[in-house]
Amino acid sequence: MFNEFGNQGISRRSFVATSGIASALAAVGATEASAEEPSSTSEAQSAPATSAKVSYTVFDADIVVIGAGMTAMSAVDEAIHEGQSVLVIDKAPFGFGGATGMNWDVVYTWTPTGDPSGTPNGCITELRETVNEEDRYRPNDYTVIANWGEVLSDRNDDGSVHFKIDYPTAQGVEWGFPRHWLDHFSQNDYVTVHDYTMITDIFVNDGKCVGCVGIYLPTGEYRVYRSRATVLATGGSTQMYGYVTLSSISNQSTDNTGDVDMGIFRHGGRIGDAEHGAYDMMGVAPSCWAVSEGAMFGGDSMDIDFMYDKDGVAFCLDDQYDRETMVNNRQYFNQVVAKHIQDGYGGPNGGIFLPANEEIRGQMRYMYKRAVNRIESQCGIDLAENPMECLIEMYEHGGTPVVDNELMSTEFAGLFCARGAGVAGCNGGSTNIRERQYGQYAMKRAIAYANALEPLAQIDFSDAEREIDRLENLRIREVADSLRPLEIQRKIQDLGYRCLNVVRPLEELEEARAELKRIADEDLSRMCLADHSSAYNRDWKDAIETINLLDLTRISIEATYVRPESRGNFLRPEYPEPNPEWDCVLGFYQDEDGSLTFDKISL
Amino acid sequence: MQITVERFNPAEDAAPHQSTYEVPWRENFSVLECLMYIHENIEPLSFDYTCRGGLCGRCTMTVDGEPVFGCFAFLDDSPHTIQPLQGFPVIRDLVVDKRRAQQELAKTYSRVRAFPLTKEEIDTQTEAFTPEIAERLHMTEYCCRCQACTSGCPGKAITPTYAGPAKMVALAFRHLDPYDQGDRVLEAVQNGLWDCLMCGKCDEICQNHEIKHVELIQILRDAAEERGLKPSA
Repeated sequence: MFNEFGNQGISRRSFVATSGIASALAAVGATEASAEEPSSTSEAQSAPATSAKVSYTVFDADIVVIGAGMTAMSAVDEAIHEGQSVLVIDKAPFGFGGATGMNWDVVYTWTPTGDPSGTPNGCITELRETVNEEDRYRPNDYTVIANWGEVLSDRNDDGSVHFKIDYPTAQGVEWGFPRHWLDHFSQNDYVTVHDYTMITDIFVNDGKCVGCVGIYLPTGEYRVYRSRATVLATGGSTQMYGYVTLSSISNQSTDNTGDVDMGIFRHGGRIGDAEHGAYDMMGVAPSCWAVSEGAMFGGDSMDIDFMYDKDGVAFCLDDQYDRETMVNNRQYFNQVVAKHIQDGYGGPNGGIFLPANEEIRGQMRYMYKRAVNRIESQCGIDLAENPMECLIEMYEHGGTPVVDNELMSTEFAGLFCARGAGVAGCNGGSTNIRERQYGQYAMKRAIAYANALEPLAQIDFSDAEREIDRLENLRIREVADSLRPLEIQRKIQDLGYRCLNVVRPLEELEEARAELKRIADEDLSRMCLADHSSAYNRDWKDAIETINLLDLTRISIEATYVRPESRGNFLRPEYPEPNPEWDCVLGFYQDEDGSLTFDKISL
Repeated sequence: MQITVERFNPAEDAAPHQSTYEVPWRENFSVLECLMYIHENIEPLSFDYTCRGGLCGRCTMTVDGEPVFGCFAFLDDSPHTIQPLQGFPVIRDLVVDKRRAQQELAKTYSRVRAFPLTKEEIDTQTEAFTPEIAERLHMTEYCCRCQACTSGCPGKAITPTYAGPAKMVALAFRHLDPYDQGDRVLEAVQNGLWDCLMCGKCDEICQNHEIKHVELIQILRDAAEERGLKPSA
C-alpha cells in the first residue's frame, strides 16, 4: 500500500509528536519570563487595556461585507442591483481567499423546478421558503453564472451546454471556476475591497452591530469598520478536525477559522449547527497533499466495489449492508465506513484503501484525475497497484450565528449572516446554490435595515477598543513557561478529529470535553508568541485562530453531547436513532460564569 | 538538510538577510512542509498558503533560483535556498504583494460584452463552441495567476514594458471565449505581445501543465498578424 507514514504507523490519535515540539521550543524559542502573567483564561483573553493607548484607523461604509467568496459575491450582486455601495473585507489577498479563491473546478447546481434545493433536514422552514421565493434568479440556471464570467466549457459536441447532473429536480454543470465571479464583481464601481484584513470581532453599541474590528495583516494596523449594516459571509471552519502537516483533515481553506463567528460568541451571541459537519473520503499520502483539493483524490459511495479495509476486504459489499442505500445515501455510507474503521479495520492512518484503477479513474472528475497523475509521477508510485489510504475528511461544518427569518442575528441588530444557524442545518454546510440564494437575501435585508436605520446619536468606541486591547495583549505579552500557539492548536485538532468524526462515541466526547477544559484552564494562559512584531506575524495570527478554534470545538462537542440522539451526518453509538424532541437548532451561548448553555430553536 | 531562507521585515530590518536552519529530511517533503517545520519547531516564519493543491497560487516562491509552488515542489536531501517570489514587493519574509498584478488580471479577465447573455443565446449560438475551443478554454482556466511565469520570464527581464505571460494567457482566454466581445488582440499587442521571446520558459515553470503559454501567444500573434498588427522588421 502507498502509505508514507508506514514506518511510523501514525495513528489517528496523534499526527504530530507534540511533546517533541514542546521540548525543542523550550530550548530554542522561549521568550524571557516577565512579571505579568495572566492567572485565568478569561483574563488571558481580555486583559485590561495596555498602558499606552493603542492607535487604530476607523473606516466607514454603509454596508460592510465580511468575506469574499461565492456567498459574498452574490450579496454584492444584490447590492449592485439596488445601487448600494459596499465595502468587502477579505482576510486573504482578494481573489485567492477561501474555497472560492482556489481557482478550482466547481460543480454549479440549481433546481430546474425552482423549488428550494437540498433536503430540509434541520433547516428553518419559513426562512428556506422565503429565501427561495424571493430569489431574483430562480431557478438559477447557468445563465446567471455565465454573466458572472463563466464560459461553461463543458459542452456537448454540438456546442450545447452539457449537464453533469441532469434530473428533473436537480441540474448542474461542472468545470466552473469561481474566480471569474471575483473578477467580475471587483470591477464594479459600487464595490470597494479591503483585503489582507482579518476581522476578529463585531463592534457593538447598545445591542446593535455597528461594524467590526480587525487587523490589516501586512502591517499589524488595527482597523475599526463602521457600517449601518453588516453582512457576514465567511464560510465554515473545519480546521479543528485533525491535522496532518499543513492543515486539518479537510480540503477546506486554512483561512477559515470561524473568526467572526467566535467574536459574536464572545459578545454573547448564540451559535448553532456546530454539531453538524459534512464528510467524504480523501487520500492522505504524501502528507503535503493530504486531503487537499487540487492535489488529492478520494472516493465516495460510487466506488464501493473497490474500497478495501486493512485486510484487503471490500467491506462495503458485505451482505449486512443494503447496496442501493450504500450507493445513494451518503450519510449511511459514511457511517458504515466510519464504524468499520472504528472496529479496527482501518489502516495505519485510520483510513480505508482505494486503488486508482481504471474503473475508478473512469468515474473520476478531471480535477481528481490530474491529481492521481501528479501523485504517481512525482512520488514514483502506481496507485492502481498501491491503493491510497483515504480518511474521512470533514469538508463542511456548521457553527454559525443564530438568525431570524431575515437572516439577522437574534442578538445583534444590523448583523446579517448568510450562513445563519438553520440555513444548512443537518447538511453540515453550504452548497453553492444555497450560498447564492442566501448571500442575495442577506444583502437584501441588510439594505432594507440600513435604509430604515436612524443615525446614531453617539458612538462609543470602547467595545472596539476592548477587542483591540485583547489582540494587542496577545501580541506583546511575555509568559513564563510559554507555549507557542500552534502547540495548543495541534492538541485541539487532535481531539477534534477523535470526537467530531462521523461516529462520535460517548467516551471520546467525554475525554475531549475534559481535555478542552484543561487546555482552556491551563494551556491558554501560557500561550505566548515567539515573535512580538506587527508586520504579517504568523505566530500572532496562529494565536488568534487558536482561541477561535478552541471555542468552536468546545461548542461543537457540547452540541453533540447534549443531544441524546444521532442526527444528520453524525452517529452517536449510544443513541443510534434521531429523537423527534430534538428536531431543532441548538443555539449555544456563554453564561456569566463562562459555562456553555443552549436554547432549542424550532424549525 | 540545510535550508537557507531569505527573511525580511520591512518594519524592522534594513535589508533582506538570510537565516539558515537544519531541517530533517524525508521522502516527498514539500517546501511548504519544510517552512511549517521551521515555523513550528525553530522560530516563527511568515509565509502564505491555503489550498496545498496548486490551485490558489499563494505559496509561490523562489526555490534555488526557480519560481515554484511551495506545495508542489519536493526537496531532495541537499542544501536549498528559499526566497520570496522575485519581482514583487515583500510584505514579510516569503509573503509578497501580488495585488497590483492581480487587479490588472482581474480587469483583463472580466468579460467585455455589450449586453448580458440570455439563456436563448447560450442554447442557440453554439457553433463557436467547438470541442477544440471548449477544451482549450477548460484547460486554460487552470491558470491560478500565481505569477511564477511572470517572475521567471526572460522576455520581461529584457523588455520591462512587456506585461508578461500571465497577462497574455488572460487575453488569450477571453480572445477565445466566444462570448467575449472585446478587442483582446489589440490589447495583447499593446501589452507587449511581440516582445515575448517565445522561449517557452513560462511553459517550463508553470505548475499547471494544462496551460500552453507559447501556443496561446502564437494564437494571439497569428490573429494580430492577420490584422496587420505586427511591427515591421
